[in-house]
Amino acid sequence: MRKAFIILLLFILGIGCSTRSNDRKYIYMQPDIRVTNAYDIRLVNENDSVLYSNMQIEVKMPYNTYTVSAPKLWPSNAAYASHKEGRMIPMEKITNIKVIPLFDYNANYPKGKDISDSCAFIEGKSSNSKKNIISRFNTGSDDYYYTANILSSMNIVIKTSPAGKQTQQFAFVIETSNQSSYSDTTVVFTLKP
Amino acid sequence: MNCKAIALYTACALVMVFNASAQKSNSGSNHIYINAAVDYHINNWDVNNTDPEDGYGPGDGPIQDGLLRVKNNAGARLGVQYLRISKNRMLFSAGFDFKVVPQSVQLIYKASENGYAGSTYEYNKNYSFNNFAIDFKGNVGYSINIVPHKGKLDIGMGFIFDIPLNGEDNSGGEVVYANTGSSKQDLIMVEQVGWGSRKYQGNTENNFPLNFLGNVQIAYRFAPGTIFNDRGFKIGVDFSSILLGNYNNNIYINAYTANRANRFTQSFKDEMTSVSFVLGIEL
Repeated sequence: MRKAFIILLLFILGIGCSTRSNDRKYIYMQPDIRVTNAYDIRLVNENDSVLYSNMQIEVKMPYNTYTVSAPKLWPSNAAYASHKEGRMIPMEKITNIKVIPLFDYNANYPKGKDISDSCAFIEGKSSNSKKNIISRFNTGSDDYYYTANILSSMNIVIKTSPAGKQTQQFAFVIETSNQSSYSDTTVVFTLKP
Repeated sequence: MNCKAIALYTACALVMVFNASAQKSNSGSNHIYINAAVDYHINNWDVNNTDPEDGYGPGDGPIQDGLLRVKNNAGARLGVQYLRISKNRMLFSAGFDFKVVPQSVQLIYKASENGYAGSTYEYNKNYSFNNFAIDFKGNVGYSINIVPHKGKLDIGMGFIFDIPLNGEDNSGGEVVYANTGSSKQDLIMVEQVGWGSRKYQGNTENNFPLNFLGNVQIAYRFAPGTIFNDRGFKIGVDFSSILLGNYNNNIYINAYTANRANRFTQSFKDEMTSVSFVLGIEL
């Protein structure tokens, strides 16, 4: 009886010490950005024009995933009920994002100066500050299968007005803690105040 | 290591071997051999580009030097084999081997050949691992009487259940950054490595590390009294290669070019192809 009890106890301990299921790591790839006209949900093509009030910068952030091997400690860990959920974990930390006008925007933002502090970053229906959206890039998911928790697209709205009608083009730059950076640029278009 | 399964297999094989040694059959002969072998592992076909550069179909892209280079390696094994020759010269054999398989793969990366024109950056790395495994073998064939009462040629075909006993992985992948010439670090590749009982990605808890190999054996058996006074001796050649299973050695490289655009994928997948030189002495 005592032996049976000890065996049962070991089995329960095995479940209690269950390993986590496979995790997945993700890393962002080259972003794809384009200017859209929010008025009629239209893509702004090369040399098209758009009113400032209708302009949005659409950002798509593709990512690659890599599955992490899970360790196995006890035979009872194989029991499905004993599994902990796998997670989605970022492979690198994004430390900064920049939105850079490649032509003079207004007096405060000449060409080449980062304008991201004056932007709203819209994910779904929620508007985020720059700090919050960087945090979202670095937040994985507690659900292995539910990749919708990973930030994969957003819209950028610039909250400060341009100086006047202008030829414009934006670059979107992402910087990581590994001193790596990657970027994409929009087409050249005409921005009307 | 899957101790329960290994113990079960070992027990079955030992029962078979000792049962055979106890048999005195009138309709054939039973033999037990202790085998030792040197394995020559052939890796020439184990590296490939699975995804060519964007815009090119397989085979029509620019010739790439390739990132991964493999070498053939020599390993060794030691085992026990039960061999039964029936009255009509059919042979049946079963047994198991413990084997050591050293493997090494070299990575040679030149930024100038991977999308960073003018860069002199190079990244070299050597991946190596000593695999320990147990092989459970079964074989069927025919024994040809070459020299009556002195020598027989055995030709057999069969299978091997290969169970890796050790393994290693790099936790789903390592990210490699490099200064390819600009002031910043570029993501140049993600390396995924899985040796032996570990996959390069995603060991699931219920998977049992097992590979299924095909095997051909050709051996010449010397009868007792020809080489050794009181026991038989054999010399042979084995050929084996993987048929099923995904616990072979894998290295998977995703290479990226400037701005993290996908460049190509190159992989090393050990097909476990080997030629062995076998010596056996009869118990």
